[in-house]
Amino acid sequence: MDDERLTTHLKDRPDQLMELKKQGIKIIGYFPGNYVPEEIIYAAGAIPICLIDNGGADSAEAALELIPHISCPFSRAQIGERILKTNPYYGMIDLLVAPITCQHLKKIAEIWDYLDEVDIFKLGVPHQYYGEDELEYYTHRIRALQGKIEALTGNRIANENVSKAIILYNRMRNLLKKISLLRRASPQTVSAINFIRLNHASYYADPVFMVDYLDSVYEELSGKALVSADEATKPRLMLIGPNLAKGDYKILELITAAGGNVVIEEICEGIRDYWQTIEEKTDPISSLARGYIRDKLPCAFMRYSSQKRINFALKMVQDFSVSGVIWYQLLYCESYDTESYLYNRKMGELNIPMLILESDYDEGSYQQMKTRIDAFIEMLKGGIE
Amino acid sequence: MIELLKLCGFETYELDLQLPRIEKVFNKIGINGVDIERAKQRLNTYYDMELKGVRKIFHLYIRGLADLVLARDEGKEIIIYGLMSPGVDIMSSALMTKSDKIFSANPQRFFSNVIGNIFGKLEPVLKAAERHWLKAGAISHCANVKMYVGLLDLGFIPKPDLLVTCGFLCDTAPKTADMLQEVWGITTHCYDTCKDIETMNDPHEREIITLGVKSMRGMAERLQDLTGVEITDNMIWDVLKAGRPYGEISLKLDTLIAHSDPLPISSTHHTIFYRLAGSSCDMNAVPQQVDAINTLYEEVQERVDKGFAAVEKGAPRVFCTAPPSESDPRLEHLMGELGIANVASENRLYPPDGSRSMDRERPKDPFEALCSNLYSSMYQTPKARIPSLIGYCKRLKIDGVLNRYHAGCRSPALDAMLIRSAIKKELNIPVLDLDWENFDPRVYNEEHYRKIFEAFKLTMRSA
Repeated sequence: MDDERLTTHLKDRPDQLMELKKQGIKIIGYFPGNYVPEEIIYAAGAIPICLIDNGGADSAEAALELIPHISCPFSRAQIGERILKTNPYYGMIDLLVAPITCQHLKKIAEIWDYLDEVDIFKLGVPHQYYGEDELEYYTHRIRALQGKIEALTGNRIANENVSKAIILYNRMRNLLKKISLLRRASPQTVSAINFIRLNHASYYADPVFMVDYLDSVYEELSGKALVSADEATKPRLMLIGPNLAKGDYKILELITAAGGNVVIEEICEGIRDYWQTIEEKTDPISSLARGYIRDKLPCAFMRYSSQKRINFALKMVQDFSVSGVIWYQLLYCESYDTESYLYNRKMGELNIPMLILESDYDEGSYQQMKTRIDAFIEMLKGGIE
Repeated sequence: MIELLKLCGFETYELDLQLPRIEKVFNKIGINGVDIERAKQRLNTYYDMELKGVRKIFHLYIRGLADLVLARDEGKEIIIYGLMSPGVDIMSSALMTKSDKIFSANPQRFFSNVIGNIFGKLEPVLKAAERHWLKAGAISHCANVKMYVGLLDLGFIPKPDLLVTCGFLCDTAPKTADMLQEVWGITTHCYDTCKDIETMNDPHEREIITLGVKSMRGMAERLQDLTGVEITDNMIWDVLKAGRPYGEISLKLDTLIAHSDPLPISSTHHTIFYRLAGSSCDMNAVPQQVDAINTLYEEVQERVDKGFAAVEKGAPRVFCTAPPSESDPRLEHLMGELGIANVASENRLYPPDGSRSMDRERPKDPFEALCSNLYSSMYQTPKARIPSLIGYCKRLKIDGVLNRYHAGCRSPALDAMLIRSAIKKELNIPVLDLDWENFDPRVYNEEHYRKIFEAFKLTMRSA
């Protein structure tokens, strides 16, 4: 993989965006969870940036002056970044689109709104994702977002432009999916950390650049085993969790160091985004609404999502020849904590070992994690032998 | 046992019928002689049992508990529970007027008040839930939700034919409904809206209510399918109308207490009269509920007239965020004992300035009336909630705010720091933060609370 090309692009990206901002181009940030259609933003000639940075303790701790500790560290970090003002992306946005996802991120949006430092649009995401009334509601709110962005940018968002954006973003999703599917092979062609970095880059990079880059990566990787042959003997793992922030890579490093190999991830900023594409031939706004709320794998906070989610996970376990599951949840995340019980039970019935880990982005939790990951992978290796 | 029941307002003539029922219930849920002695002590310590209204309230809770626990044994064929689901009680009441085979109640209200407040024995129920998906520890799952899981796990309440929940306030209750269905095969139903609500005056408000109404109508259809009884709009209106006197008298009582100095009754009583409505769905209980609150109101009014002081006149007046503890009177009692007048809690305050009732047109759709909770402060964003808290504090001439946040209820709890700084800035009065659990008596820490409340009182005095 030509890492340098991507690294340079990402390094230059904040300056490039600031330059574009000076020229009047609007930068629109949004919170993760995969319920904000970037296509609408892009179609308006604005630049979508998903605020998924984190994994460090500093920003999560800084937030404690504005929010009690009982919010998950990722959410707290989104407040912390506003306080610390060290991350350029957080300071440059002209509008924050805050989808009403879990209770934590919903509250973070409310706090940003209360502090009144940036314009906020709350995108209603009904949690009964399967209902027709709810789909209609979400569609209506996407249209309202369209209006908001038009007013901000001064550009009319034509259906034609939205359709073009859908095609562009679908290409990106398809390429990510194709690259991810290469990991079904053993030995695999790309490590988890490299794949996740690619995936995360797609939330910051220029989408045209990213599609071109992913295309070249796929070309390079297909049919080629890049990882050493001894990788084939390592336990193949699936990582499941609410989100893995850009920078929260310690978990992957610990797994790798312990001799494990993550071959597939079920996380918000990952498979839940790239696995499904948006329908291209119908009314683009309806297509986006249906695609984002209905067709994508629902998050754990969605009502009655457990069955669908666990079935999907089991299919991935089978398709990617997974021998163990690592469940990586964030401290205070009630939905994932609750669901871990069901997954553990189900995996147990199928004799698929599962390890539940919890992070508060602090050194203490990583120390504890290391011991548990080492033991888990040792156990899996014993099973292989 | 008879002594306890009489203390709780049971008349001799009732005991022939009620005593065997209640004994059966207490046997089932593990209440023994020691517990009964402790209950008598707790009642006499924490509540004004000389007040007839208080006795009547506890009478209704104990009898309702028996109705709930014995529902199947006594021939009820369809049992429905609501879990954090405003409106289900009203629909269930409407159904129960049409069929005596249908039973519905709010289990948490009965167990919190009887097993929690009276007996102080809720811990085994919560621990039972913690053995499943609502683990103990830092995660702080809501003990209200734990109670349902624990009660079902222990077999203290009959398995329902349908458990209804909603996502108006949280994700925890709907997620537990999902688990109950997946893990234990209990049929559940969830209704919802979308919480991108801004304030009461946002033009978008209508859409949120409309979505909630549609979802609630879906729930009504589900109830009709289950019971075979049609739910008409008129049936809903009838139940709402029947409950209106309760709303009026409890508001009068609340206002009387909040504006009195000296405080005429300990704040331990707040929860027992707030929570009586909606505990039982039996319409026959409504006149008795109204009578109990009315009696209490008259007695409290008499105390006010006589200058009776539950807490000394001139004591610092405190407002508490979040509703009072549902299952443990000790924190409220301690405040009184230390000479702090806890005059009101955030139990249904409405933006923009924290009124106890909504100043808006009565809805034409009864299902819209059932969505009224969405307007109250704890369901609002900080932008709407905080001014309502400040407005109410101003009107009550509050000296300090106990900023307690029910950690299990993330959405309102996460406002805590903003509330603190806004009150300090706008009112310049002391604020005491308290990381807390509204339904779990295990959080009570006498030594710690005593210290912080003493310091709080001193700060208020010197402010």
